Amino acid sequence: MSAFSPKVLEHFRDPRRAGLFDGAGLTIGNGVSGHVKSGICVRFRVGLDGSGRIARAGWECFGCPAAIASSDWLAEYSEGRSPEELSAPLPPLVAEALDLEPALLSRVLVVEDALRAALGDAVSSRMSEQR
Amino acid sequence: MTEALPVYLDHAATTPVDPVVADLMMRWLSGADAMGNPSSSGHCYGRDAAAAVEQARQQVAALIGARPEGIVWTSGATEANNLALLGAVRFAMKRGRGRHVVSCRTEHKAVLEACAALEREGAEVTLLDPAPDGSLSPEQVLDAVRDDTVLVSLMHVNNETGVIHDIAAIAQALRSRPALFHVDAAQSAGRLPLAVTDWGVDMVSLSAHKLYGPKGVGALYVRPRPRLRIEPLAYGGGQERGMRPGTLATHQIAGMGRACALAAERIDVDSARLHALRQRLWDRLSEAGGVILHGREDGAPHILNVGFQGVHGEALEAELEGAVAISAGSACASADTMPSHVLRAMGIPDALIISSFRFSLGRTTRPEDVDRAASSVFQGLRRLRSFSPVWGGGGGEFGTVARQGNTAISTESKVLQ
Repeated sequence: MSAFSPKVLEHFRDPRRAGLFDGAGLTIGNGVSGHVKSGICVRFRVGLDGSGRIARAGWECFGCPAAIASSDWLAEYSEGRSPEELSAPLPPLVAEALDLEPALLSRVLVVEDALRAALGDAVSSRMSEQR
Repeated sequence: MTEALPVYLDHAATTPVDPVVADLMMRWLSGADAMGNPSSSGHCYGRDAAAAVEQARQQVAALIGARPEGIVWTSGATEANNLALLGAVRFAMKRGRGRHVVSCRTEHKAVLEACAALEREGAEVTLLDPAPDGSLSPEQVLDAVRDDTVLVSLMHVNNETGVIHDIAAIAQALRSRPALFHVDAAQSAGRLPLAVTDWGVDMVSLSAHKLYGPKGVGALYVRPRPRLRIEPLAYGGGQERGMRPGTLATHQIAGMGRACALAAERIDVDSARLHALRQRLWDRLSEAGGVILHGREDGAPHILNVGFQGVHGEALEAELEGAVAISAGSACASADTMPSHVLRAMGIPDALIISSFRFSLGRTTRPEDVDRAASSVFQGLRRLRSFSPVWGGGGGEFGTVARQGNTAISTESKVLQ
């Protein structure tokens, strides 16, 4: 019997946004978070379209199934939204969507940090492009 | 269609009870004449039970090359380790005959926690640091022994890595010193030859369920001549020479005896088979690359501890659920998420410890089981590494120190001894 919820295992076993895409035509932002010593390392990539919305999101993750599933869920959730629409804390949304145990929330925080770093990178790239 | 059961490769945690052993135990549980207390010498029921217990005592002693009168029944190796350490050191401390203990950082928690308890009672404990391959030299052990050393306690085979301590050589080195020598042989009994009396070892811990016997019974060998005295952990009717009082569980003891007799008959065949299977497993696993052997190539025949670079242990564990039953670290320690104290003591970085697993083979393991397990691991590694940021040359920003292609790590297949 797994310690992880069925929703975590679904995203873990069949991730939809795994890997870093080639973002031709998009404004790309990359972000990393975590450390091997902490048992979690996440790399996020987001691609903004001309309107500034997230057209694509992808990730790489070294971590437990909950970390992998959180990365995948957040990538899916991000697509179609603007960075501003993601400004509220994301871990509660992830926890609810994936039926996460409270003890696993610390791992979601690391995933969120990687996503936010990628968003920040993409937004500043977009501003540079617009100058 | 019935789904295939996961391949069981966790024999260092526990082994299945041999059907012959189970049959004998049932005879002592349900036989019409099997209710006697072995201490009741006044009637045939008690005498029959006592005879079964004494036969088992001889079978256990024969397996380890010791005198039967030295065998003291316990509930398992944990109790045996506690009885050896607490019993011997408390006995000495009460009489002002020393208060120092020597052991090693890679010992089982049953020894390390007993050492910690003794420290709280005023004893002093020296825990030796093993070499990076988990080994200890006899000289290193001897150097740690002082005039007030009561006891040296070391395991024969490490339960996580399979590293073998050269007990004969260490015992030889200790002969010039008065310190007692206790050996936890839970993982080695039935798998490696033991010659306790010839080696001059004073106490030996054993467990039945590690060698195809029942859980809940074990033994501590306590050298009978010259008589070695220890403090009991409990007080009662004086059974087991006063060292471990309580009514003897005939069915458990008879089962352990039969399991030891079977192990003695099969030790050469089993050991050769396990060596070959371990080599096969290593060959298959190492094909994946980035697979690190923890311990020594000439380790015990049934244990292979490896680290898989680039994947998290919990993720691989979830990937293998339903396919392979293995342990992340040791089963006794996997209830918490602390990195293995054994691998830490060998200097293995935490980042690799959390990606490490113990595969332990057994009497019923077949070559096709090894292949099926390796294939499942291989597939799991391929999938998890496909989206791992610390595999394939990247990952410096996450503090990785050893990655695929790093010359410090050899992924070549080695011939295990």
